[in-house]
Amino acid sequence: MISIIIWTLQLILVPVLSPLFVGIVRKIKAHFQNRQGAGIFQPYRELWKLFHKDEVESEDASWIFRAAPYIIFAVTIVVGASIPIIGTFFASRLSDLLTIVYCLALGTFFLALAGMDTGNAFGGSGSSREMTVAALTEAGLIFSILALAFLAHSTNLVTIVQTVSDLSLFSFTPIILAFVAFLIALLAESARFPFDNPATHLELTMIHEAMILEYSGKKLALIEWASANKFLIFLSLGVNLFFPWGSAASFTPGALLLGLAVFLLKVFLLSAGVAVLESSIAKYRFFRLQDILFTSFILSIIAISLII
Amino acid sequence: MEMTATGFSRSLLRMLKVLALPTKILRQELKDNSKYAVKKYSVVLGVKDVYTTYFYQPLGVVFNKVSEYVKHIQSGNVNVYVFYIFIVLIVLLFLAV
Repeated sequence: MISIIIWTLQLILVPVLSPLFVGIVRKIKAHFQNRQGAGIFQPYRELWKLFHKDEVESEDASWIFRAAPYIIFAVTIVVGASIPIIGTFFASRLSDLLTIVYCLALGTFFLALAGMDTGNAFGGSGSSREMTVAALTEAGLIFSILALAFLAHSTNLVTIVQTVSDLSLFSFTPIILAFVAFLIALLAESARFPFDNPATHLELTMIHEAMILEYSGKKLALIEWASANKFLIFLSLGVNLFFPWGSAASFTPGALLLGLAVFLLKVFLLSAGVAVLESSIAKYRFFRLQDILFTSFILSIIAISLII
Repeated sequence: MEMTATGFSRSLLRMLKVLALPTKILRQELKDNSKYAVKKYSVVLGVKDVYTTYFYQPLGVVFNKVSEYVKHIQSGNVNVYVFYIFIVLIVLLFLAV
């Protein structure tokens, strides 16, 4: 009974909290740019506004255009419910490394299809750029978590969290290398600098935004929410897999509250780090992105070779 | 104007240009009385065959060279063939002891 309640809370935790962290990143970037910025709860108001707007849909749109927002949002909900967030309970087949990566890839696939669906050239260019970046990011993402899987002798994320929290500080160098590789993959998959500018209005510089140009109203709200969910999923994977101290191991209220508080603090620190990183570098030219993505892959390979 | 598959494939090929070796031929057909005004452009995009050029052909050259050396065993002179049988006989006698 208690586990059902906790599982329901974890299910709604990612969609409820994700706009908050997007708002925190925007606020920190605004302060770096010497302006006040909107409040940290502004993304919630934006979602509310979009859910109360009418939609305009192209005549040439097919069922993919209409179905894609639901598929993308559903994927982020499923993945958010399967990864270790507050604690290391709910180990299942879904909390496996490859399952998570390829469920998220399913969302990316449908987003790219939806971008091309209306025949809009900007959507097509966004889709082609997104597929190129996703193809190269996949290697760095899988291999950085695979480094931890070699340490834990299992690809189940919950087992990885339990094993890494028991390690001594001595074996930490490969974990830091793998974390840097994972950070590059996080920036790539969440469409942040240096891969993509999430606040741009120029189609020449868009990757994620170009694919959702045709969307409006409720479907746009779902896609924006799903993008925020994906950002929070990657942040929580980053803090829970690589720095897992403080995760709850049992269902006692003390452990759960401590786990939640530690999770919020760690994700806040990592999102602040992402905001500082975004404010200090520029967006790369598209044909420079393969250098940084191959660097992520090579760092993971070095981490794996240090572990084996 | 729609997006074609070229945008998807050529971006990735250009990024992996060291391994995949993409090729491009750009031709222009000029208008009749001008050196500069172009009537038609044509582009042929291709991929160089890496495996044939850098693996199978060197391997074939190595095999041909080795075969040229081994060819000299078949000289056509029957006495040399009897000599080979004699050598094999001596070796087998040594091994049988």
